[in-house]
Amino acid sequence: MRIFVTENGETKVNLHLPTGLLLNPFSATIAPVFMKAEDGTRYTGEQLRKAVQELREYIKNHPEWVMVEVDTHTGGHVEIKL
Amino acid sequence: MNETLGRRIANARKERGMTQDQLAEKMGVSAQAVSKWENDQTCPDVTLLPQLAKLFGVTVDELLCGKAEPEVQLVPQAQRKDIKDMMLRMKVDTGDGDRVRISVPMALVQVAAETGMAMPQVSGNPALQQIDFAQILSMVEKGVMGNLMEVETNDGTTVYIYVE
Repeated sequence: MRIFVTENGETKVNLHLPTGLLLNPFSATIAPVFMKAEDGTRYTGEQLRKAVQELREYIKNHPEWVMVEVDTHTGGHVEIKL
Repeated sequence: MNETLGRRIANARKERGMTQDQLAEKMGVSAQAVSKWENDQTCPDVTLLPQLAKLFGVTVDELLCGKAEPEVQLVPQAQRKDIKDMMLRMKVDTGDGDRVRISVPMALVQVAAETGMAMPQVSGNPALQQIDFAQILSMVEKGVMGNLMEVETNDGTTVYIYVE
């Protein structure tokens, strides 16, 4: 996973995290304890394990995938790539 | 969709997995110059446009004016891509000039629908909160592709949702 933040072309954050450390069956199992959507919805370990499995497969087949990208009118840029 | 030259350059660069530094090196300019192009603070020199277009595999016309947005279309069964290779894209352009791009694999939307997982609100933007992902999945399974939804709010925010 890569989190990349620039401001007017100047790199502010360039964070690399091992995707396998975040997206694995164990983290999917324990995540429901900490994870709650804004509307109060809670997810089960089974739901998250399936989601993680699909995500990992997608990343493997599409390594160039950028999940979130934000450009602000002030020249800021944020990019999250799994 | 009203995209600027800077945004088209940024999109084309990212689609090719290039960083601003790499593009700058190929074009013989500084990374700051590329950043300024992408933020529409300056435009590339006219003599660089053919080289830039060639690098992105588009014509100079397409680079300057953009390609037409994909219209909604019904794809015959035989020509449909596997849903695991499809991407649900959400574009939000706010009235302030901010822009947000979110890409979610359709496979993930499918898992969410199958397991009864409610999709979280992908941003605080009210225009995105009522999106029925199950309905989008149902449309995609029937072969509907392209620009599925376009919402304009009274504060000047535009939301596009399309599948490719």
